[in-house]
Amino acid sequence: MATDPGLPDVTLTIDGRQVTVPEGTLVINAAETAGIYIPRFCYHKRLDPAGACRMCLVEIEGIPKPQTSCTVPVKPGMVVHTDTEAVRQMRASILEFILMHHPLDCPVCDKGGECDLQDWTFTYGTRLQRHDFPRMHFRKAHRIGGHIVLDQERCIECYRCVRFLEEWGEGLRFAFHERGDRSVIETFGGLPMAETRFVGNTIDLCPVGALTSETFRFRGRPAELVNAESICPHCSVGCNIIASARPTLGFFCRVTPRPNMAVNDYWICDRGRFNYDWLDEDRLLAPGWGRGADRQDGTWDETLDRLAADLQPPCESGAALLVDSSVGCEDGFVAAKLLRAALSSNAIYQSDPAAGWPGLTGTITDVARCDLVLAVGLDLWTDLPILWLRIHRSRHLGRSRLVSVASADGVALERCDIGLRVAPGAELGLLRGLAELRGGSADASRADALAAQTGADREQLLRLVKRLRRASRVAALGGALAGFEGLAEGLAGVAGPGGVWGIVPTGANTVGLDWVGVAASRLPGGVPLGDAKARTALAGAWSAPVAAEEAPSSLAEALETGRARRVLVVGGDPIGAGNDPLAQALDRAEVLAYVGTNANATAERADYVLPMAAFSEVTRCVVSLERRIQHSSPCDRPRGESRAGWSILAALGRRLGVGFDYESWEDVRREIAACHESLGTLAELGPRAREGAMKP
Amino acid sequence: MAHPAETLWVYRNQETQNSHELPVYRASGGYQALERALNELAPAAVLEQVKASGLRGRGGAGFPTGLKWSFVPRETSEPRYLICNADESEPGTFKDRYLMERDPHLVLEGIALASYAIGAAAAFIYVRGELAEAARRLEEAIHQAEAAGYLGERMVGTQTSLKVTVYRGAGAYICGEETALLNSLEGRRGHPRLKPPFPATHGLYQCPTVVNNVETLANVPLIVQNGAEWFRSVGTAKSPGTKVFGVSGRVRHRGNYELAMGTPLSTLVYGCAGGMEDGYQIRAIQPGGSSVPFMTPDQIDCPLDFESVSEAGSLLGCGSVIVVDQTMSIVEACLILARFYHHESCGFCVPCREGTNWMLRILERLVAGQGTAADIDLLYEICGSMLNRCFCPLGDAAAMPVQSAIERFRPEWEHVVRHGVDSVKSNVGATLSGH
Repeated sequence: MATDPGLPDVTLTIDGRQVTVPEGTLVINAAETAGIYIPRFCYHKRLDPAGACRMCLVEIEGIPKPQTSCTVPVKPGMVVHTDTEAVRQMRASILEFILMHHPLDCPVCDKGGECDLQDWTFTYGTRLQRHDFPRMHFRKAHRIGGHIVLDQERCIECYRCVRFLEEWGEGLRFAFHERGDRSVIETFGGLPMAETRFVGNTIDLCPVGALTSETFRFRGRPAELVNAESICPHCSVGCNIIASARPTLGFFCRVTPRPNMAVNDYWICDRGRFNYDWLDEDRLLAPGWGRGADRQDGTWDETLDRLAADLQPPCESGAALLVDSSVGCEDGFVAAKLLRAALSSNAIYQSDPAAGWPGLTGTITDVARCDLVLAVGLDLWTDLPILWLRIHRSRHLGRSRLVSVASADGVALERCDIGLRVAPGAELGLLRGLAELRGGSADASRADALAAQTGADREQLLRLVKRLRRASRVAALGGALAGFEGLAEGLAGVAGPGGVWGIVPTGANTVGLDWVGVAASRLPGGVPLGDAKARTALAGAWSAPVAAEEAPSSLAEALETGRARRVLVVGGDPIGAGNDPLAQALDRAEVLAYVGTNANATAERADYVLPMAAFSEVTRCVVSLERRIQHSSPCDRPRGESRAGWSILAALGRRLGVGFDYESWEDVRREIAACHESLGTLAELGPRAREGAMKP
Repeated sequence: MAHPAETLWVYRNQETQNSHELPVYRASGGYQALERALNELAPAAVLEQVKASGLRGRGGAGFPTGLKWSFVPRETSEPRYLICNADESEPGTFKDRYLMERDPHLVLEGIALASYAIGAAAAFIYVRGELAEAARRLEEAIHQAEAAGYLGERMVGTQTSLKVTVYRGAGAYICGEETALLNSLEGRRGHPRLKPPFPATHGLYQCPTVVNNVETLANVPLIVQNGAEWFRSVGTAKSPGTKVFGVSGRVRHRGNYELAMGTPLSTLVYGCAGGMEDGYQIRAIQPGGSSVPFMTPDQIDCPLDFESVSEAGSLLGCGSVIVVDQTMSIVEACLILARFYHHESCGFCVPCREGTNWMLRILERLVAGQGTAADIDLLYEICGSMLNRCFCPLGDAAAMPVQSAIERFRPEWEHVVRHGVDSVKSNVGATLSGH
């Protein structure tokens, strides 16, 4: 259990060592502070203590019975023994009990090699098993949905999974059925779970092989995996993950969370965990050119030469760039430089409609500490699950309330304390009204007027106003659903001076890409394009002219007005993404070059296909919605002939006559840092910066 | 007819015709204590009186009732709850059932007084699922008492109100453990909760709660009516008052007897219960229900109070005396108990869940004549690995009788291993003398 840092210290003795810890610390954690790791199954730092497995029993002087160190808080002068003959006997007997009916199928169990039961049995168990009765049998290899495979026989009933589901917001998706030694984990009615959000975390929590991942099953032993500290590419929260692959066999293995209390705590969402099949399937493996039946593979040199010839300036039809908002800063920077310096165009765009906004004014932790979180036009539960989970945890602890405002029914109005539906387009009016009602006098008639104006339910609105007036810290988060006109001011108004607000990006690197210059009207460092001095400085640094001409505000406009006919797409799948006007506009491009990872609708339509290495195959950095700059390392080799995005774009740039002399990602970062003083943070960031750094 | 050795306090109406009807209860002085307390005494005064009486919990643990009540915070905005633990499921125990079926108003009056003392406006009676008649009688009695103004809004014309609700459990032994009861009452799985926090501060719905046994609460009206001194005039200094003892086994008159605390076990067995049936002899006795260590026939004069029984190496528990006779081997007796605890272990913690399973298998093997001497040692060791190491007392309850049986009847166990279980059993006729 987390303890308040403001609490007084308590000194006690554990195995003869003096330890000083904050009041309220559990003995099991105090021992860890003293370098003594007490064995455990049911206890987990981020779950409420259960005391179920009895593995952590210790002797405390003055207490006649052995005590579970996971449930007893320290007391001044307490004398604890964790390594007596009696304690060793207790541990051995607990292991003997647990192993009575355990199937001992370690050779075919996915947990083998990272199994707590294996580890503790080797450390504290006895060699022989005295239980000589037939083992009890339960259901094995039972697919319970959510990509989880349940083995009821291996379960040791530590309750970590069900405690997580209850304490961290998913709600019980499965539970213990039956009683005593017949107890088993089972889904309700034995039916597979549908639509899970965080259930995958129970796989990591499971100290044995009872809950395993369907997608990782039989794909490798922990010792065979190459692991890297990476950042999840699926949304703007920036969850810290461990990406694992087996490069020698050529496949990606799994994603597991990497604890970072500032970002994702100990968890990740199921989308981040299980959505990796695209790393192995339908990858673009070789460069090539030609549409449809004319497509032919070529060498990198041949393909890039042809493309360079097609793009060679000066040309009558301008060039445009569309960067997917999940692409790393290095790739985005080189792409934008290519456009400005080699193709003399500022038609540079991101896929995320929220691009250009600076992210949140505070951190995720700041949001979770607000006593009221207002989400407007955002579906946190679906789109930013871990942000929802962090807020929900505060709700669970009674410290926060979540209010969702949307103009359409659906999940956006569920999983919150107040779900307020308003008329389409009324979000902004509501925000302005709320800002007034929060600060001004409590006038019911004004709330009534606001309800009438926005189409909101009167009772719900009154509840919201009451909460808002009571709240000392408010977070106001806005999403693309609500439209952007005046949204930032509206959010700032409700959040007030002590609050947190922001338009929430959806891309893993929306904020970072904008920062390194992936924007039509901003140069690296966020400097306005109109700043001639900055352009001159940049031209000096790049030894190339920097385009000055203003570009249209959107890619669709640039294409439709004919100002851009040759388009470079980096990452994503804009044609297959369901944005029909953009897809149709892109279809009209004279030259469409696609730097991407997978064979998709955009690759199909493209005139040039340049296979790019995926996030798990390159070193990169991304900036999250809270403006946290995080470094991501590779665990895998690029598939086929694919290369890092920046390396492809640099090779193209060189062919267009501009200096792009990078040997490594470090060279790219150095050049980024040289563009603007604020970007220094990004270049200094290395793999050692576990917590990341905050964007200035 | 009551036995002369009995002191009939809570069982005073047991043999009265229609004792469950309100007028009959009132005729015996019923609800006078409640009327007096609500009109004349402050809640603190009721609490003090119960504290002074030295009443100890009759559910098994023997915790001082007044002290338990005093842990409930006096100044709190949270609702407070009183829960009557009527989940009487200990094998050999059938005392609360008679109280609820034959004198439900006494139980209700106790509930009302206890609720008044702790400031509870809602009380629940958690009745064991199988006790359908008791639940029905209680519901009828609540209806009558509410109509007569003893319960419900503005009780006996005062500002005090109490809503009493009968809740029927689903028949799990573990739900008699107070925190498992709370979980069950909240609609959760009947698993015990971590203590601390104790129910007195974080009980039902995390609000201050007192959980008392039926017999405990039935004593409260008598204490309020007659005073603490009167209560202390019977029983021992540390275990004052009476206790209902239920005797089962091959005694002549099986049943419940209310005796002063400290009455010798021999008075109960040979006096009240009329001794053993013809041809039967005592092999072992469990003085406090199925969960306590066995006593041997030579301990028959042990006084029945919490302290004396503890000194004799067993526990008074809920006062249910199970007499094992010579037609049953102690190993068979242990097997019966093991079956029960294996079936009723909730499975929450490892030692109880797995230990009860293992004990059962070994005992089955021993009774089937396939056991070895090593099995006895292993069984004894398993008991040791469960005792004091389980999450709640159920594990101890499963281990204690078997452990004591091995300690006190070791030669018999060894005989069973060598010659089979029948070799230690005597036929009824064979031991008759004087016929």
